[in-house]
Amino acid sequence: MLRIDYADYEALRAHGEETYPNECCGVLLGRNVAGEGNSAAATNHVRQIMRAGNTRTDSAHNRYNIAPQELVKIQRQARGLGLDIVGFYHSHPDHPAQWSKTDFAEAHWLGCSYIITSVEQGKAVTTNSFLLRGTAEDDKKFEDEAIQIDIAHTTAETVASNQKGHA
Amino acid sequence: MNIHIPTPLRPYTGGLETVSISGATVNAVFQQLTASYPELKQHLFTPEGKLRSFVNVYLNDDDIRYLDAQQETAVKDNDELTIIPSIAGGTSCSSPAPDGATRFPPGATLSVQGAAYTSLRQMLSAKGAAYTSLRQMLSAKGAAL
Repeated sequence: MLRIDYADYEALRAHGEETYPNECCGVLLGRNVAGEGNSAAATNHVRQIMRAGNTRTDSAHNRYNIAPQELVKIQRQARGLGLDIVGFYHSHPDHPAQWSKTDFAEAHWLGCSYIITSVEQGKAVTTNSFLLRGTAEDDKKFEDEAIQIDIAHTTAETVASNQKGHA
Repeated sequence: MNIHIPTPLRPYTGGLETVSISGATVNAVFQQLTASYPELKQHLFTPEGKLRSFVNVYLNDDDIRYLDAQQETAVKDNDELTIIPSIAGGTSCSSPAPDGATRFPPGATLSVQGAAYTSLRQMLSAKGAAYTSLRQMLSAKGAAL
């Protein structure tokens, strides 16, 4: 499951509207709560999103790429914040919020969440998340992933606390 | 030197984000790394021993592929090596269109004040008020996003 604050959820959708008709992309920083990237019980809990530049200026309307150098810097920042890279997001301008063959072929972060937002005529419509499961390139697969959107951070903490108390 | 491991590869380093490995060159460090954590090898290198095309390795801020000596580049103890898989994609060659166009994906829940809802409509209805949007409801409740 992916868990994200409403403000971050809206921000990544807004990013797709800003870059329309080109694709936007960014990184999800947070923690894998169960600490087991491929566990069914694991939750990628997003604490912060970071916008990234799309280096595919040659075909930005239907391709995206985050420069490795930028990823290194983002990972360094995440480390400083005590967070990990738990996923990525990008937009599909005038295309469904479903992963494409290109998305799959170029997905290598096993255990991470890949959020896709369809942006139709400049408006963000559907946002889906897909968990990249598997242990290696030859058995990886995208699975539909439930999204929990928290309206207020304090609320989420309260819920988590209550659940812990009942355990 | 410290080697930073990306999240997908941490299951093979015992969950460690940073491992400390000694060696005179990038190659020597890699050999020691894969000797210490054997399961990493197949994820980093092809069966022929070449670095996989989607695996980027940075020595401090430099991609080792663009260094003059590449993997034979000499390293110091205070250097940092970062392993970072590539991230790319796009809509070209799209999969079939999804059924329906709901705001939240199937299985998504919205958690508000401890209650979970599967759609905005359900939540707004449960609040017993004629709100037409989430923003309107939050505004009426004086909530700040």
